[in-house]
Amino acid sequence: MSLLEVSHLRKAFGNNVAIDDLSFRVEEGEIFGLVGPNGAGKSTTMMILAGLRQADSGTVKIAGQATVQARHNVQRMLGLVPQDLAVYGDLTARENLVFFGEIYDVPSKEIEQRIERVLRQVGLEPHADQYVRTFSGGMKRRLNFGVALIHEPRLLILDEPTVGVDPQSRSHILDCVRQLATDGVGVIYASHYMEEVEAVCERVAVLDHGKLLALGTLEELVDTSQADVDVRVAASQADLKHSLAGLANVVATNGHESLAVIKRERKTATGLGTRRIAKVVDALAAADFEILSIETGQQNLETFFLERTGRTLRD
Amino acid sequence: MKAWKITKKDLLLLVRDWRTLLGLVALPLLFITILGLSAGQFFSEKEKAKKMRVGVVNEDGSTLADNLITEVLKLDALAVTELSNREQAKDMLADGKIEVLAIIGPRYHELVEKLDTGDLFFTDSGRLSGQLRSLDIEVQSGAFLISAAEIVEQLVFAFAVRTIAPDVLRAHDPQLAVKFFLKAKRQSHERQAGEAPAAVSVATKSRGDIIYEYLVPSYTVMFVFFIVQLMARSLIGERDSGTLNRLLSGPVTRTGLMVGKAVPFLLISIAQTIVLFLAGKFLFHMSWGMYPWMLLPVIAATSLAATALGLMVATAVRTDAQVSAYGNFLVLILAAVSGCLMPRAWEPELMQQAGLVAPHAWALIAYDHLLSREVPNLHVVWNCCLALVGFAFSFFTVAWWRFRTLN
Repeated sequence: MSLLEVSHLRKAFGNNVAIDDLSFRVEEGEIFGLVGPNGAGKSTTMMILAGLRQADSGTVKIAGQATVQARHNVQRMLGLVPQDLAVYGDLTARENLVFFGEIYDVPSKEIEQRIERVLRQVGLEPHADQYVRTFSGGMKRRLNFGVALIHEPRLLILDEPTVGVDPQSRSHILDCVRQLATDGVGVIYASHYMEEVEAVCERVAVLDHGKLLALGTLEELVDTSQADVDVRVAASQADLKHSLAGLANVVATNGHESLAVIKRERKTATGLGTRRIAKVVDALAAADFEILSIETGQQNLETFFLERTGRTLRD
Repeated sequence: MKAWKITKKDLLLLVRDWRTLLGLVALPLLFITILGLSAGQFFSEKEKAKKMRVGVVNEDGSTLADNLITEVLKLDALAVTELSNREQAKDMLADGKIEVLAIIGPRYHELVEKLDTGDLFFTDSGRLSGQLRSLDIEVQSGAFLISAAEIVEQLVFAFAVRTIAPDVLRAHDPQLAVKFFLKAKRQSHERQAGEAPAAVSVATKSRGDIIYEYLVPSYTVMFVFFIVQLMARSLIGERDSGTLNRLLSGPVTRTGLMVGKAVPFLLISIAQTIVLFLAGKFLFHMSWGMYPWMLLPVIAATSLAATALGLMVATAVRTDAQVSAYGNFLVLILAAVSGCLMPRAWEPELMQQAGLVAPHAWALIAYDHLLSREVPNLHVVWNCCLALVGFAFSFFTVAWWRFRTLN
């Protein structure tokens, strides 16, 4: 039994379908990435998982219990780290932790011990009794994260947990997330920072327009054995297109230069395969075009994401 | 229990924001004081209760005119100042230093001497049919006190008739004058010989009491409803900061959260009213009426309605700016409609009925019975409390229904 099972989830707001037939699972101790452009349906998904919205159809089960039927039990297993800094500025860090601990019925005998542990985890021990309004952005972000840990959730939902923080705080939060997963906590990590998702997530779901575009491990999604090869040539786009028809995509860079993009050349044990490159080079030599440079692009989650979701700006 | 945790947290936040709490008490106190001063009252200085200022010019100078002025001076409700000439008196009237001016013309004694006994008994048809004009007396008033001038005119005429009657009788019908004199003397003697009536101490309310018995509850009710803004701001703040979602994603129900958010403001509101009523009693010497304990259910029910209205407003607005705009609009309009800004008794019947759409009006009716009436009708007071609880329940229901849209 998976820790989280999302099955055929659908949610529409009028005619706008925010989530369409979404299914995925998260195991205990797994860090699961949820990525997608703005309006992809990530926030709606997370709100349904956190019990803040109801799905039109489909089910969400946490530890085998349906969130709708067993809301009370399920909520205690969940920890939510919203994108907003959801802490009280006029309370101290400790008072915030006490308040949320009490809300989650943390036994009074344990609460002090848990607060100390969380403060240590998020590196706020020296600032425990300071008002949160006096904290830096990074400290607030760490407390925002820590508050979700006070009741020791089994499933943690992180929505952009590192927005606007300094590199040190970001690194600290990511280390905490890894440690939580090691301790068996299931984590859903939603972020626009692809390098963060690549750094901490084992599996990733790519959403767009409410649909699941891709789901798999990073290795499955990002085939690093393939890379594009960019050949910069001193020739016009029209001339180059004629010479390289069927061998490469041609993009104009300026009036005198063009770029021939050889898509996904497979790597070999000794480097890039040369069959298609050789054909391109031969064609360029035959046409007497000067080759200015040859570069290989790196395939990663971001390039995969942009390939799947496109480069059109989203609002 | 979750509601109590939220209440505890919000109380802590409210106490830390003591400047706002201070405003809740200081602002109405300031209003009451300023309006009290405007009405001529300052705290408990009842002896300085405002009297109508009347200037008198005696151009006649006779004993008869002096007697008339002496009589007018005896009237406690008027602050009479004798002025030397007509021009000075008119300037003072124009400057607002006196409100009414009475000029006893130079022909006063001459006109009195022409009167006979019949003129005293038949004032409508005899030589006195022109009232003060028949005696060469003129009464003028400032622009805002035309009706007051009429009252003064009638008073002066009555005093004039009283002071001139013995002289007119003596001059024209001495036998009747002696008969009236002997009869009056005998009656006076009989009264003195008879058992003296027990001195009855009639507790009368001073003008100061009456003003503060209106001002304190009216402005207290109005400012109690300003809690609407604080309440709405707090909830909108929770939504904007994300703590509302955080709470709702935890084991907190919608009702629990609403109750938890409302109770601190209810307690603050009750405390605000109690402080204002204490100030009313000790600073302004306002009476708490025959049943002071009955103030408690009215205070609680009013605060309950105000807090529930705050919840409703919070679920109806989208931004902090809207809280200010709609909150102020609602609070001021409801206060104006209900009679917080002007005594309900001064309003026409239709307006009084229309005012009942506002919870303020019910609170004011209850306070009016408890504070201003010698024998309050407790049935009416309890009905007002029920109406206020009904308002609270309706507001809370709408808020509960709208709350789901908040996140």
